[in-house]
Amino acid sequence: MLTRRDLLRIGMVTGAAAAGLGAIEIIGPVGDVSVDPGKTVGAVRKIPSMCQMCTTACGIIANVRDGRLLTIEGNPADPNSQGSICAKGVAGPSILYDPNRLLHPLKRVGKRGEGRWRRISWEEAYTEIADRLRVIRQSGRPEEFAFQQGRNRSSDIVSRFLNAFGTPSAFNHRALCSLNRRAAILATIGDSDWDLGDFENSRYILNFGCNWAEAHQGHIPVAIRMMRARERNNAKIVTFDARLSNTAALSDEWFCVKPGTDGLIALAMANVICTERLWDKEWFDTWSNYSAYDYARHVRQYTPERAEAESGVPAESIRRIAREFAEAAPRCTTICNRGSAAHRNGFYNDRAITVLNALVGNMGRVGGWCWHPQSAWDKKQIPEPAPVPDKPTARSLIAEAKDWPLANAWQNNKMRVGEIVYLWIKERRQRISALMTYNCDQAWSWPEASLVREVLADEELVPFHVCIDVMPSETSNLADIVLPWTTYLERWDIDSRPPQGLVDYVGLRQPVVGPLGESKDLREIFPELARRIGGGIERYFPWRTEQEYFEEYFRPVPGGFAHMRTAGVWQDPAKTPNYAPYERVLSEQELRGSETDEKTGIIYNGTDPKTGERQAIGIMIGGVARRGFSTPSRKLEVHSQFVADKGSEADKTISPLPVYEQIPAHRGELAEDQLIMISFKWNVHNAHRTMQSKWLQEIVHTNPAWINTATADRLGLRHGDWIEVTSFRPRDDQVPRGDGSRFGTLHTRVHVTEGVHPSVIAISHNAGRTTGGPVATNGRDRAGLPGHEPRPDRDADQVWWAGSLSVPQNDILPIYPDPVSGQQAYHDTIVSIRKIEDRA
Amino acid sequence: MARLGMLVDLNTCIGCHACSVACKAEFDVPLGVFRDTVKYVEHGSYPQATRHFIPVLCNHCEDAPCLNACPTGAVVRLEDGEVTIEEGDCNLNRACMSACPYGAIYVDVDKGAAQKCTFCTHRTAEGRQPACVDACPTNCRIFGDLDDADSAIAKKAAANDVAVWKESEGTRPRVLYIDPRNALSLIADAGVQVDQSVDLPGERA
Repeated sequence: MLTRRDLLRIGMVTGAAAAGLGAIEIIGPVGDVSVDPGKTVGAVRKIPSMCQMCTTACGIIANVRDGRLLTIEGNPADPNSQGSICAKGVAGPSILYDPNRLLHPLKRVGKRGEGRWRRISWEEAYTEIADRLRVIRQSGRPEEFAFQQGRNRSSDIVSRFLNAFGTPSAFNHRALCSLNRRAAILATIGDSDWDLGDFENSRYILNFGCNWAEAHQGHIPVAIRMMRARERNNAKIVTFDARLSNTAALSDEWFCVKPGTDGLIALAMANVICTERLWDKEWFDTWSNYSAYDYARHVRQYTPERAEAESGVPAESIRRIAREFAEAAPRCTTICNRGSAAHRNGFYNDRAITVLNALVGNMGRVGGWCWHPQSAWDKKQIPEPAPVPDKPTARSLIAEAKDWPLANAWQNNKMRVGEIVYLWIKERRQRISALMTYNCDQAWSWPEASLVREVLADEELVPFHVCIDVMPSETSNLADIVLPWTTYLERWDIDSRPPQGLVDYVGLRQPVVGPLGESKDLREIFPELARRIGGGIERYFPWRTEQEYFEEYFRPVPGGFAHMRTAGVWQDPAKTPNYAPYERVLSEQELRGSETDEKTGIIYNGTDPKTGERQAIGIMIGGVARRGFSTPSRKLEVHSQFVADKGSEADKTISPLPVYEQIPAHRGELAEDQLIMISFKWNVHNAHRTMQSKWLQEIVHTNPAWINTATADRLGLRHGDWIEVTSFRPRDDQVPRGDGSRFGTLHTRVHVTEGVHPSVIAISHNAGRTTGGPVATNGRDRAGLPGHEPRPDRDADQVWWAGSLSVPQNDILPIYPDPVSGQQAYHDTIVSIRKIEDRA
Repeated sequence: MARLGMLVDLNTCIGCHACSVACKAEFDVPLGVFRDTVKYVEHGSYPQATRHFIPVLCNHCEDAPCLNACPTGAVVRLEDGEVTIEEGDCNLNRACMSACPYGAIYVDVDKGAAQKCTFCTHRTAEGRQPACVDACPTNCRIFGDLDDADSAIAKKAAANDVAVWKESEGTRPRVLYIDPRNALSLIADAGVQVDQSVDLPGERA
C-alpha cells in the first residue's frame, strides 16, 4: 500500500504536471453509455510521449484521467511509427502499475545475495553512493567506477555524468545486440551503421534472419512499411531463417537455413548475378572500389551447389531468388539482423549481404537499400546544452577490448565487447571498485549469466554494487543498494531512432503521470550525486530541474519545449529524404580551397579536428566533384583495407572482401545427439521488464525447446518430454577458453514442430527469471518485496500460467565473441540432448 | 440504423497481439479470459511449414445463438446490430456460453455477469473506432457499416473474397475475413478463449 504521504506526493506532482503540461486536451462527450463502458469513455487528457518497452521508441499518446494512466495508443505525428504501436507498447499501464515494482531505495543486510534488505531514505542512499564514488575519483583512478547499462535511451545524461566523473568504464550491450551488422555497414559505406531499406517503395525484400514482425530495432515502423509494400506494390518478401519466426511465416517464401550460412547464400546469389550478368555493372564500377569483374572472380568459389550443401537451401532456389531480386532492382532491398549477424562469422555474413545490394545498384535508391547519417536526431541542429564535459582521459582495458579489432575501430562508434566484461573482471584484468547497473539485468540476460552472478556475488571483485531498475531482478538481488527507477511513463528524455522515412526527427519522452512511490530517474539522481561528489563534476549540471534542461535542449525547435510537450515530436519540414546522398554535387563553397588527389580522385578540404589529418569531402566521378561515401576511398568499399589493417594491428587476419567462413564446430556431421542451439525473441517480449506485464506474460510465458519433428523422431523424443541440454564451449582457438569443453546443463521440455531446422534446438530467452513476482516468474516468486508495504494485487492469484515451464537459456550459453568484432555468437553453440525421466 | 461489422485482412495481420492487449487494457479484462485474441496455427510440413495468425472475437452474429439462448433477456441486440450483455439482467445461467460456437463469452467473477466483446459501443458512441481496430499497427481490421456501400468495410468486402469463421454453424457472423490461405478452416474447433491446458508444467513429477 502506498502511504498517505506517497499519495499526497503523487497527487501534487500530477497536479503540477497537469498545470504546466499544455498537452492536447480532448474533451469527449460524456454521454449516457448504457452498456459496459470501457475506461476511456468521456474526458481524458491526451499526453504525447515515447514508448520504451523496447528500443524502437515509437511515439505514443497516453490517455490519462485524474492522474491515472488509462490506456496508451500510437502518436500519428511520429514519422517513424506513424501512430502504430505493438502489444508491448499498448501494455504500458501494466508495467507502470505493476504491484511488484520497486518504490523505495533498499540497502542489503547481511551477505550479498542473501536476500535480506532494509528500506533506506534517498538521503542515506545518496550519501553512501557519493562517499564511495568521491573516494574513487580522488584516488586518481576514476576508471574503477564502472557503469553497466542495457538498452539505454538517455545517453545524454549518462555520458554527461560518466565523462564529468572521468570514467571510461562505460559498459553497454551492443556486442550482445547489433555489433556485427553495424561494423559491416560502417566498413562498406562509412556514412552510417544502420541500413534503412526503403521498404514502403520496394518491390522485393530479401530477409536474412531478421524478425521484424516481432523484434528488430525498427520493429513496428518496419512492419507497417512491409505490409504497405505488400498491399500497394505487390512486393514479394523472401526470408531465410533457421526457425519459423512470425516474420518467416508472413513471408511469401521461407527457406529454413542451417545457422551461420546466410552469408554464403548471399555470396552464391552474387555469383549467380555476376555469372548471368544481372548486375548493375556501371553503378558497381563507378561507385564501388572494386571492379565488377574482379568481384565476379571472387565470388566464383561460392556456387549455389556449395551453398545448398552447407545451408540446405536448394541451389535452384538460390538461382531463382537471385534472378528475381536482380530483376526487381533498383526497387529491391535486403534486410538482415541477428539471424545473419549474431554469429561467429556474422561480420562477413553482413558484409556479403550489404554488397549484394551494391551489385544490383539499389544503393540509396527509391525502394532500395538506404540509410541515414543520423542514428538519432540531428545533433548539429539540436546540440546538447553546454557545458558538455570532455571525454575521459583515463583508460579502461575492458571497454577498449583490444583483442577484438572491429569493436572500437570507428570514431564515435565505440561498440565494446559486453560479453567479456565479467570474465575480465573475474580474471582481474581491470580493477573495479564500484559498479552501477542501470536498466540492465546482466545476471539473467548475459551469456554465461552464471558467471556474471558469480562475479557480482564476489565482494572482492566488485566491492560496491548499486542497481537502478524499475523492478527487482536477478541483478538487483546481487546489489548493495537498489534504487527504484521511474518507468518510461514517469520521466523525461530526448529521443529518436534511425528514420525509416529517411528524414531525421526528434521526440520527447515526458512524464504522463507523476512518479510512483519514491522512484526517481537518472536525470534527478545524477545531478544530485554530482553535487555531493563535488570536485568540479557539479558544474556540468547547472539546471535546477529536468524541465529547465529540456527547455534549453529543445530551444532550436520552432515553438521550443512547449511544442514538444504538445506534439511529442518535431521534424524539420525543409529536409528531404536521404536518397543517393553519395551523388550530391559539391557546392562551390565546399570546393573553395580544396585539393584533389590525382591518383584517387579524392577531394580534400581542411583538417579533421579529431585526427588532425586532412579531411576528405568528396570524390571526382566522371569529372564531377561529388560527395561520395564516408569511407577511406570515398567509394562503397567492397574491398576494405581499413578492416584488414585494423586486424593486423591486433594480430588478427580480417579479410578485406566479403567471405564465407564456416563456424568451426559446424563442420562435418554433428554427433547423433548434438544440435546447434539458437535463441529467439517473441513479439510480446523484449527484455526483463516485459515479463513484469501481466498482459504480455499471459500471451507468452513459457519456453519449451523447439525441435524438428524428424529430429525428435531420430532421438526418440515426443512433445513434452523432459530433456537435458548440455552445452559446449566452442572448439575455437580464436575464442577465450575455446577448448570445446562441456559448459552447462539445463533441464527443459520438448516442443516438436515443423518450424525449425533439423540441426537446431531453438529456445526463447525471455524466460527463466526467479525474481519479480508471480506474473514474471510463473508463480515462483511470491515472497513480496522486502522493505515495501504489501500492495493489493488482485492478479497474484489469477496467474493461470503459474507452474508453466520457464527456463533461463543464458545460463548455458557460453561467451563466444566473433574473433574479428567481439559480437556474441548467439546461434552457434553446440549442445547435446539427452532424454530424462519425468521424475526428478 | 447501421449494420456494424468488422473485416479482418489476414494478408496484413502480423500476429503482434496489439489488439489482444488493447482489449485487455480498455476493459481491464481479468487474467484468464478473453474478448479478443489472436490464434496462432502452424500448418504444413518442413520445409514448407507456415504459421497463420487469426484475430478472433465475438462475431456479433446475425443469427446469434447466445441471444436466442438467454432465458433472462440479458443478451440484447443494439440498434446498429451489436450483440451485448446487460450485466444487470444476467443471472449467470451460462446458457449463452453453451450456445456460442465461438467461445466468445466468459464469466467475469468480479462483475458477476457473462461478458464479451461489445464492438466497443462506448467508443463508437464517441465517434471512435473499437480499441482493437485503433491498436492494429498494420490496419488489418476495418470496422464500419456493412450496409453503407460507400463505407471502407463494404468496399473492401465487395472487392475481395470474404470468409467467416465456422460458416457451417449458420450464425451469419458480422466479422468477416479476407483469408487467402484458408486459415479459418484450421481453427474450426477452437474458440476465442485461450486453451490453458496446453502449457507444459515446469516441475518434474
